[in-house]
Amino acid sequence: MNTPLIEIPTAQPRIDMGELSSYASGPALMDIKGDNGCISLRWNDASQAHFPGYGCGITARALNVVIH
Amino acid sequence: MTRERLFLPLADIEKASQTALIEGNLRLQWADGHVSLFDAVWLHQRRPDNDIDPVGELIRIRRPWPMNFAPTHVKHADFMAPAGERHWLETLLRDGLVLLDEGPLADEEVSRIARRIGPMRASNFGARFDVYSKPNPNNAAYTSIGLALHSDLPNWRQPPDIQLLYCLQNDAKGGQSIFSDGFAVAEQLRKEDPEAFRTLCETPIDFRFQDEEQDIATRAPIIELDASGQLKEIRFNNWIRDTLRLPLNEIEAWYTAYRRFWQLLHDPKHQIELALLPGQMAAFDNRRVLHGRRAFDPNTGRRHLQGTYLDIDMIESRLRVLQRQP
Repeated sequence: MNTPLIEIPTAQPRIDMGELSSYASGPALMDIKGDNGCISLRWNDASQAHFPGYGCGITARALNVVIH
Repeated sequence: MTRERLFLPLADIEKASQTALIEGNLRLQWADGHVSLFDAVWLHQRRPDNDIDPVGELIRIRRPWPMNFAPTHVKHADFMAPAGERHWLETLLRDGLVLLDEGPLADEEVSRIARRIGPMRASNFGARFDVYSKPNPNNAAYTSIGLALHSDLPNWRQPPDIQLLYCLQNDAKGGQSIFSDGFAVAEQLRKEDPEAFRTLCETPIDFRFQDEEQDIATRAPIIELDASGQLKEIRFNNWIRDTLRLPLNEIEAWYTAYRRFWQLLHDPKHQIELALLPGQMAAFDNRRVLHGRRAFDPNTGRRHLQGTYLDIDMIESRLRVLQRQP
């Protein structure tokens, strides 16, 4: 399946929003786990988060994937 | 690089074929080969159960002034360092009033302070205004009379959010500044006299400024609430409140409510009074905290303040930028 991610002007580098500086100091990621279409993240300050919809692409939206 | 989203989520996306942890950050490789590298802190800020904007939270938890409220003072020299400036900004958002002490007696220092935070918000009185007694004034502030508590420019659809008043000279007898937390007093009115509170919330009235060159008017209630019933704004300025254009059977109730709110605001227990010292600056939330001054005698000395306005968006922005530093 073609995805909107590849519908970009030619020769333009694609940069994802989260790839840029976060503009803040904070914890590093310790662990990631893809699980049945979701992705779970754990940071080194013991916080964790569960981003749903990994398999069907919703995660990409939740993570604000951008093309620049 | 605009840092703005160009991707339109108009179709499903195949899942990433590879996930990896690279130097503490998340790396995803998509089916089309594109690789995304997500910063760990950026992800951390966007955890589904996390409040993404701690600065916005400061706005939501404005602290009403308690009895015997004393405003926080920050020294000008401390303000010039990130920690002091953060303290000043956080206090302004929380209390709606903060003082800066021991600044230089320099013309335009208020503008330099404002520009450090963001662009000055201009009005029909200019981007930066002088407050002193002058001939042929077009505003009561430019006289020596006492000014009862008020908010500035309620005749504008969007009154200025933050006001900075920098004292350069204050030798005249009198002229003490007075402040009152309009939100705290409005909450008291809501509790003591719900009908008066409702009247002031639900009755738009006219505010209007007219001089030779301008005629700026809007219609809005004295107290404005947000969708959840929380206080959003106070418009209170008896000089530029226009004639009351209401149905005859509503006028008496409105004046009764207005008088009650006026009395509560001007109750000394709801006011603080202070004499601004040269080199001292008051910053306050013009849409929450009302300000005024006692009369002064221009024959006993000179009283000169310089002022400007800022949008609260710039206060929040500056705080977010400063919070990037650990």
